[in-house]
Amino acid sequence: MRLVLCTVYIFMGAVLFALPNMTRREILFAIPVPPDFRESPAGRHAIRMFRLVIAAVVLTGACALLLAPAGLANATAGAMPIAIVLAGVLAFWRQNRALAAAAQQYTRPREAEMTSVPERLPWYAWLAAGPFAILAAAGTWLYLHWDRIPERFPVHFDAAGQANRWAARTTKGVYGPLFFGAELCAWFLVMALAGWFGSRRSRSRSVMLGGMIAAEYLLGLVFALIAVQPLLGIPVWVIVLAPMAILIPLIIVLTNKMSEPWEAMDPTPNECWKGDILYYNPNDAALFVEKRAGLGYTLNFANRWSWVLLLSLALVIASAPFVIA
Amino acid sequence: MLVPNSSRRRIVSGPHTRAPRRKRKASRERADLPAVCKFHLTKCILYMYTRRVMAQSPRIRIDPASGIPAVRQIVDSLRVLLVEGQLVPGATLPSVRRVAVELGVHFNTVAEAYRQLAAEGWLNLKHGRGAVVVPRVAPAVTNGARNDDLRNRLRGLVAQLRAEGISVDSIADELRAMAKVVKRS
Repeated sequence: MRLVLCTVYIFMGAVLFALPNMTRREILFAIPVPPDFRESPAGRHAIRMFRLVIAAVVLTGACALLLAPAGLANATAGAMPIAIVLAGVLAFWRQNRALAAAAQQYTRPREAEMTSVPERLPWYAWLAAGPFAILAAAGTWLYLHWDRIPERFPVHFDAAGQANRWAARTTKGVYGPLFFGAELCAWFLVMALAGWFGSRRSRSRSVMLGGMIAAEYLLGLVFALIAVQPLLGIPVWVIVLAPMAILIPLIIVLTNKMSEPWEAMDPTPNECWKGDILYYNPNDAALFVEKRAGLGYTLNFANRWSWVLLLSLALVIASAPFVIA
Repeated sequence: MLVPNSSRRRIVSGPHTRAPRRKRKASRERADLPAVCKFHLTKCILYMYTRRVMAQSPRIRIDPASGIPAVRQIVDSLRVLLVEGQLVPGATLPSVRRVAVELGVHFNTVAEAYRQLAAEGWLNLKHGRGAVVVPRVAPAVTNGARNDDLRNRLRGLVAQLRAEGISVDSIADELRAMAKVVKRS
């Protein structure tokens, strides 16, 4: 089990390691820079320093997790993702400040089509129904084999892979993960649709919609696996590693698509980026704009619908104790 | 402000004007291509088709760096489309929300532009129906007053362009070319 957790944490580190490559060439550590800045000594130095910190923290954590005595294994397993994320945030922030002097303001004219033809979703938007079908199929399977589900089954495991929490064969205990998975998928679907209709027309917008639908599949698959685990006895490592089977190709495809030089960067004003991470522009009607840190889109926090979306996420998360046993 | 639609149509209309025989030959050649090339070719054709469809619909453009207020840029761009007949009476303009999102401006900016054009008699704004282009009769102005106004506006524009560093020759060439277009219409 430690090896499985190590794999997951190394994957987390690898994603952070690749973070500088996940943005357009004109963006480095959330700072708009000239396209060839990455190849300059200053650009290369910033990327190297960021990666050095990530690699050091991940390798130290992995060694600590593999070599820790049994009594400390759980604490190490819990601390490691926090340490990786913290190191990532601090290293990112440090390089962001270091490059702030090189910041440029990109501007370009914007165009709007003067046609009243309503916007249509791409054909693959229908695929968003798939995760709900997966969850429903899992629910049906459980319903048909209700008698074969153990009276008491494990739902939580420690770093050694030993079960430390159990649930009973009740409606909440058995179907809870499916309901919660459906809630999360519905929220992702709402975000995907809000992203499509609330952002400027571009190729990146189509890529974002595809990415959101893929993320929905990931959630649907994970929660369906969790739900059928008591019945099929799926090994925990399969449930832990299954998301990576979708995440790795998803990140690679999204990175490739977003970095294609098909169109110029959306020239949002620099002064509207709070801490270079949060976008707040009351004079921009868009609900979603291209991110400066990482892959995809982010909310325009000056738009009141962004707060509605965040509140809905908070409600979904807060509902977990009531839905899952 | 206005995107030259005609030039884009010229670029993308090439494959559509080919003779049928050449088309057949091209499809035979396509069949011999490896799968990767076919995929990229399909992508290219889809891209060209999208460009063609998009080129058919009139567009407005604003430049946030120009220093000209966004409302004025939207009004001016739309007026060009209306005067040139690219937006004909009966056409419905897109919603304020959609235009505002595309141009990266506030809803009120676009709403104000629509209101100004409605006040000029170009649009009919009805709640729930959006902005509809209506037939407009140009107001009667005496020749003397019109010429004075025209001269003053052109002088202002030329002065502004010269202040921006555009050469006198370029301005004169553009004005001559525009005069030809105006005479033709």
